[in-house]
Amino acid sequence: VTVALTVISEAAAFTRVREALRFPAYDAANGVSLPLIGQALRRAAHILAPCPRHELERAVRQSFKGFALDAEELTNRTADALEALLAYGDILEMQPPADDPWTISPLIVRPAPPAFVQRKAGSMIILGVAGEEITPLSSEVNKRLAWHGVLRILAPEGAENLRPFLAELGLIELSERTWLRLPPIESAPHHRAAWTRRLADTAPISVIEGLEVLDIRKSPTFYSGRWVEPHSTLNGVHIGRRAQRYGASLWCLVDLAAGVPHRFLDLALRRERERPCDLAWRIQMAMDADAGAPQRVRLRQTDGQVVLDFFSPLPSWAERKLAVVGERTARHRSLLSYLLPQHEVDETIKFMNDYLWITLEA
Amino acid sequence: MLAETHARLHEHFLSLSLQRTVLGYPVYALEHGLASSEIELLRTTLARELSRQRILSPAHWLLWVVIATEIGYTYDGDEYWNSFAEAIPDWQRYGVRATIRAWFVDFARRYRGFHPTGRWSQHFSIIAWPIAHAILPRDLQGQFARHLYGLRYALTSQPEFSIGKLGSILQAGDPGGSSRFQHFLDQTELTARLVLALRDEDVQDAVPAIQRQTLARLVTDLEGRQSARDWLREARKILREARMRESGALGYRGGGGTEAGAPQSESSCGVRLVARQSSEGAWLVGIKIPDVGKIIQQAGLAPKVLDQTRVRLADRPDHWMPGRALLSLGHGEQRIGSLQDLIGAPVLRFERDVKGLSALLSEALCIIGSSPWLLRLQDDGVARQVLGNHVRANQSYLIVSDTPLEPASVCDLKLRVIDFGTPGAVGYFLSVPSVLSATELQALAAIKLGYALRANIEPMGLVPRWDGAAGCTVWLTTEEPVLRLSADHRVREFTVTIDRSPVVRIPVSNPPEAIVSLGYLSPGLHVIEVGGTAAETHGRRLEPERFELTIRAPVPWVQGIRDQAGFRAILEPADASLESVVAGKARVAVIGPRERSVTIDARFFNLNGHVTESFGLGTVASLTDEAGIRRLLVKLAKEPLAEKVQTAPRVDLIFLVDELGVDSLSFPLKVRPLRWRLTAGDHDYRVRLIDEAGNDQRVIISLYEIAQPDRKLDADYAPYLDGQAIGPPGALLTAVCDNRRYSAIASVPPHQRLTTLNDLGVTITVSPTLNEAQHIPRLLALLRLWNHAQQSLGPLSLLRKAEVSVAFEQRIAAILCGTGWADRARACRSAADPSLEQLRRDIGGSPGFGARLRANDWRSGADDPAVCAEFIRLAAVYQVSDNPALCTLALRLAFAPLAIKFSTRDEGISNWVGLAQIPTLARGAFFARLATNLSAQKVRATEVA
Repeated sequence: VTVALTVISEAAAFTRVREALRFPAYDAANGVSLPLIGQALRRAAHILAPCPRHELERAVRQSFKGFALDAEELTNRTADALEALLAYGDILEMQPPADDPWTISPLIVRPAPPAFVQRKAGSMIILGVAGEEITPLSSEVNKRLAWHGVLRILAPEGAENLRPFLAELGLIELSERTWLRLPPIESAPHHRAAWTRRLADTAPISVIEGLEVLDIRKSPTFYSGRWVEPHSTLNGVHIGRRAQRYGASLWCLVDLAAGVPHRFLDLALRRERERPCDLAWRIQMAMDADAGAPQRVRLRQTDGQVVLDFFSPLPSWAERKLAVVGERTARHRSLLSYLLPQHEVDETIKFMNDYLWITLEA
Repeated sequence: MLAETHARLHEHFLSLSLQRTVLGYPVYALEHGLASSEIELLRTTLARELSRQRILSPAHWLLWVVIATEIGYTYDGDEYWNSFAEAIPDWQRYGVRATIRAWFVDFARRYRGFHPTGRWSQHFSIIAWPIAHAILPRDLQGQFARHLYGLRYALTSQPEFSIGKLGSILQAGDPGGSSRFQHFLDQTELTARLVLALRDEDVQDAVPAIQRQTLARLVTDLEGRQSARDWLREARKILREARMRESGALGYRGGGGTEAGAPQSESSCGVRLVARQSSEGAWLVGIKIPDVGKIIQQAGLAPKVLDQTRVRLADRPDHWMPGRALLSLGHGEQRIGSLQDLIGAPVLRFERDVKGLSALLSEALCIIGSSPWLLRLQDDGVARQVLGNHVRANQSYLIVSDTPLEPASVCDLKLRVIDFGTPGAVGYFLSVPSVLSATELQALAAIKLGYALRANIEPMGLVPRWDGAAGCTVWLTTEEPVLRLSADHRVREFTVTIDRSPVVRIPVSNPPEAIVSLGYLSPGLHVIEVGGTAAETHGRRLEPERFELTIRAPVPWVQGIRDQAGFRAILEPADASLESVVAGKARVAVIGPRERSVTIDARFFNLNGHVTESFGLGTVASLTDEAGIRRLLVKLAKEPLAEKVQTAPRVDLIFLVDELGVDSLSFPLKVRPLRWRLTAGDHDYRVRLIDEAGNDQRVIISLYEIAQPDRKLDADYAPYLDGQAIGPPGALLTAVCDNRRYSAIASVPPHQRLTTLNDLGVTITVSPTLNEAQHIPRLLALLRLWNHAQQSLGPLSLLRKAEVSVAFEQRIAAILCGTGWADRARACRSAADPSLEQLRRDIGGSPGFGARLRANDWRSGADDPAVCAEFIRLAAVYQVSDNPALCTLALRLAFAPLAIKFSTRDEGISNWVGLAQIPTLARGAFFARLATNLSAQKVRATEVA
């Protein structure tokens, strides 16, 4: 092998990195995109595991710092990509063993073993990290992957039966039910009341530093506009985020009296195995529905398919459900949009209504 | 025909042999060049000849070699001679195995044919010949393709493709296939030649190592399966690309850590300090121990010397580990409890001094350098010790000292004190600015730290793998290292050398940065040195920065994930209760690397959320063994755990997978506003009602004694709030409030001292008056009442619940099937070795009815419409009943009596009366259930065995 030292441009460096990450060329124009960062996180997870998620995020951020990308944008994309990988189950958050001397975080991340989930249309969602090879697929099959954000989907060619093929490659088959990990169906008032009772059991407090809450009175169709600092007109139970010294703000449920918090409950109930943000978003949806202003989904027809526009973030299990039947698409005056075949629309809307009390926009 | 084919094949093999003599390639009998129709014709003709002549004809020995090889190529891998006998019908009568071997030996002698080698060929001295000459038998093709795919990078990482080396790599790889495949890999020459032939099929060599036609046949068969085709194509692609790189290497050849004159690592062997930051921001300090296994190996010692002693970290006096733990300690980082115990002596202590070992390791196991130690904060967020104690501009460091530093230095350098929480370790955080003042330089010197202007080398785009023990980064042969060069100072140019290659000068302007690619480096250690010429100060040279990197092939992912991949315990449905899990109605599985074992513990919590008790349920060897996991979980249904499961406010199932981590499933017990408590006093048991409902509704209390479970006794509410004595064997207690029932079975042991198991027994009597068909609704209601008791309190409460259920079911069966038949069915159920024959004959009606009931599969139960339809059909065919409603009712009663509900007490009585008039139908349904249960028990017993 020749030692071939060459001075290269940033673009050429990017191409080499992309190839090492086994990332397709067609997406190269997007530069350090979310899917590319996702792939870098997969690779780094295998190298660094077990490690806390902040170490993984930091290492990947650091590795991309030489590429022209705004530092804050890189930080956000890396956090979003890791969040998505955790939501889909490419990377797992777990407890370290009790006798681990390096317990520097209550949770560590590890790459999930390669697995697949069959979608309704017959294509497969490919999950997990294949060690140093990153992907368990050969380069020929890897080229066929369609990337939807960080999610990788393999479609059959003609009458190809992917299921035995992937199983023979050594991937674990996950049933849709196992992968979705859905919470039980319950009514919005019941869900809201259950959390309110838990909040009522907590000890009183008077001050929370760096608190922001979701204002129930504001329109649920403008999610970011609902976040406010507590002020004197706010009363009752709200979803909030409270700042902490290191890392992202914590999700919590907070009871306000004239804007002053007097009880709060962190939504970091890990034993329930739901992400705090997932818990928060579902509670907020229950509150909106219970207040007579349920969150909405908008339908748009496009080329024989239907786009569902959502105006608030969805819990990861709801996004997984949408990934099974459709695919994420460019959003249009909404927070996120999914493209679905026509015949999946009714069932999907029923699902959104059963689990999240979302109703169809008139 | 045979003589003509024999002569043709002789010429063919002779010609092949002559062509290959110079190159030393052996000839394989599979390279006969015959078409499949010719092979078939040859086989049938030879078989006929053997039947006719009753002897193997020496005149056609070569044809027998070819056919034997063909059978070796196509047989299923189980029994070669069986396959032979199937292909040659009279082989068992007239064939001689040793003759076949002799002819293969002759083939090898005459045509320079392949000689099988290895242990397997010694043990299977005859069949080794036809199977080896089949080159790659069909049953091994998928495994071979997968193996080749897994090792594709390891194979191409070799500096040259020698037959011996390739065969060894294939043999040493982790095949994970059948034992026969492992024996196949022992044929290292064969496998290596096969790999080269597959790689070079596109090269038009005059003399290929395997005949093109034969190779094409192998490839076609291999590609018959999509997965094998995929593996093979990918492996060939990688092998061919490597061939191109190899032949294209015209310049300087670097790397190859094993070659003489190859670059050497400057990293000292010893223990290095590391520090990691927690998510809360605290720093923890640890050590990285060198690769002791390598040191022992280099010293010529066998790892077994470690078995003579135990070892511990110097700061953990009571934590002895087996000596062999030394081999794995270097793989990770060890957090330290006390720095002062580790300074100035080896960080590991041996229980017993083993000759040569302590002396060998004494230096390697000491912390490198002296206090203060300098740790540089690396890109991955971990601070690692740097040698030389020189700080650099714009970098962050941790300083670890065994004594506090001079306050003046701390102040001048703006050091931030860090509390490691480790005795003997004082920490400081140092952020070095781009330019240091004279005061800062003096302060650095005062704490024995230097300062150097250097070039910086940073990996770009790929998170580096750190080999903490060797102090270098690790890259794969599939990765092209891309480095970003910068300098602490303005420079005119960078000077870069890789290993011993000539200096490359890279002119730079402002900012002084350059991105360089190192190309695909060969495996081994490489050293990059980057210097520079400063833009001012008369071209002063920067201190060269050294960057060491080791290149190696990627580990096949199936092996790689065993060490790193996570796992997850899943529960289906997600909100299932522990009771459902234990009853097998909900599924528990662990998704993760299948080669890992999982240990399951049950953890019981009190109302405050504190763990009260923990029980190990056992270990299952593979995560994917769901039946094994189920067997462990079933232990929760047996005493002493069953009682705890019933009463603990929360039970967690903890899944511990080796060192990978822990996952858990939590099952909180639903806390009801009205609930019962059973407490044991010195002389009696008392049962108490806890009422937290806080409403004004009247609470109605009732009791049903276990001994007479259908007799309802009303009781007053108030006394039960304080607690009431309850005698053995106990009772079902119900509190009804606001149309909701809160019930518990309280089981009380006998007063007298227990001397035998029989003393635990209890006689349960259902009122003799409940003995008519019209009483069945009442009996079913009682059955539901007892079964739906939400709490089981006291020892054996679950057993008592089951016994009461059996008593009610037995009474129902007696009413509908007749007491005699019902008793015999019960005896059959509890017999150690039950026989259903007599019971089947006693069903009544046509014997065919019972026979079909015995033969059919009723496992889906009465909920399955197909099962119901079949039962209705059989009842009609054998003229037992032509009433589908009665048939369905009988089946539901037998399989799922709790599911039968009526809106009023009298509803359905006519049906029960009707059913009682056709005992054959009821017996048939109960018999179907009994047969299904007994067969399920048998399956479970087999699983346990």
